[in-house]
Amino acid sequence: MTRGVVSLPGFSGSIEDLARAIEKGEIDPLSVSVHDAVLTCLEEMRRGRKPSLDDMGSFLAAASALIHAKSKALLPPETMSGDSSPAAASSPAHEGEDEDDPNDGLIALLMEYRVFKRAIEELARREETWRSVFWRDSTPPGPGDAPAPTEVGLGDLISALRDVLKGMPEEEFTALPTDDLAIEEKMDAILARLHHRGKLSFRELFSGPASRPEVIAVFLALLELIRLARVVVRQDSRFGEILIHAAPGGSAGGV
Amino acid sequence: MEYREAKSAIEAMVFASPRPVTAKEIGEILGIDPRSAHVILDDLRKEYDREGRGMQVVYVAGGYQMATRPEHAAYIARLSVGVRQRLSRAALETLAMIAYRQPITKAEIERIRGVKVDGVLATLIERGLVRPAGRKKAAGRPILYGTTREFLRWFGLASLDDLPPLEGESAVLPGLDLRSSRQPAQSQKNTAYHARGK
Repeated sequence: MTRGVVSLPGFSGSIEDLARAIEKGEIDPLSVSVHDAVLTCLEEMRRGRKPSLDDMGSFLAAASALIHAKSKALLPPETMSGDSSPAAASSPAHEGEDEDDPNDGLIALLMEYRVFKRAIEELARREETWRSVFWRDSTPPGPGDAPAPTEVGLGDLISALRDVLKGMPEEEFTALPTDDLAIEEKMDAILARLHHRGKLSFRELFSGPASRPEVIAVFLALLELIRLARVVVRQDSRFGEILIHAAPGGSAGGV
Repeated sequence: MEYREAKSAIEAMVFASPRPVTAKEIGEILGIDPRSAHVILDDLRKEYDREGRGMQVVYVAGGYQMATRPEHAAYIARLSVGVRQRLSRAALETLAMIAYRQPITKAEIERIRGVKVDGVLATLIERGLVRPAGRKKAAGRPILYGTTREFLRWFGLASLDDLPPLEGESAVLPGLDLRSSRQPAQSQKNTAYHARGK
């Protein structure tokens, strides 16, 4: 058996005893800190000799029972009143419930989900039909059509950023850009330059900004554009320059 | 311009275009009334149907485009032309949420779906079915997502109004408008589409 002794006001014994007492209703689970009980117990186990597998097993069982009892006690009383059968709790046809039933939000979401169900089936049918139709341009966009593998990883980008920053004057304090708008502006600026030029090298990207925060804002904007699949970053050769391209068809939002 | 001549030119344009061509565009190019262009396009569509051609003229995503007939899919697939992969169930469900509730944020989709959708969303964007459509004027300015023209083509839809109707939409959801605006669902959907239709 576990040797860990849990001491609480009005209770002292092993964690198993505690779980049993709560189960019998002798102790209110709300008055017990499961966190403290488990920590004390673990601490004691660590101090004693190496616990056997049995000890560990009983400890885990008792701790789970405690967590279960505590979580049940923390639920709103409405769900406690019935039994804990989930069907009873989530049934929308529960008449006579007060209006502030905490399940209302959940039910509304379930209904929202159900509203979509049929439409989703219909869309699946349509997809199946139109999958057999080949359009004049005939190239279904998909993973296979993505431009050559984007070999440039986040690590490569960060080390390239480091190179850019190295060439900049040291500043005592660097305030990171916190304003979303600033990054959004940079995103627009990058897209505009790409629209004009088709591609940009990583260095060219940073030819404008003069301060470190600005460089970082441009870098964050680049990451955001990559995430949104608006740009593609490639390296022509193993140690070649990192090039930023506009994603094919990405910005136009069309086909 | 004579009818026959116009029809011939229109057939050539629809064939050459990699995207749906609108009656308005054709009207402008040929210098004819868009309504006449529409009539001729429709005649062309019926002609292809009547003659049982391997191609068809489809009204999709607000315009006309040439496509093969579905019954030939098996032969075409053997030419090693890429066949479109079916969307996963999760992707289809997420796409439906976006289509009906656009513009919508990722958090809003996750609220309905009850799971994280980052991976699925990335796939949908990669396939060109979904795209960022601005930012919500709310804390953190989260990105709003909407569907693309490719989405319409994927499901053979003429426009977003052509989406299968949602069951009992207005009866069920009076208090659960996930969008920020207080506009009724229908008109907002249209606004979203027209705003994108550039």
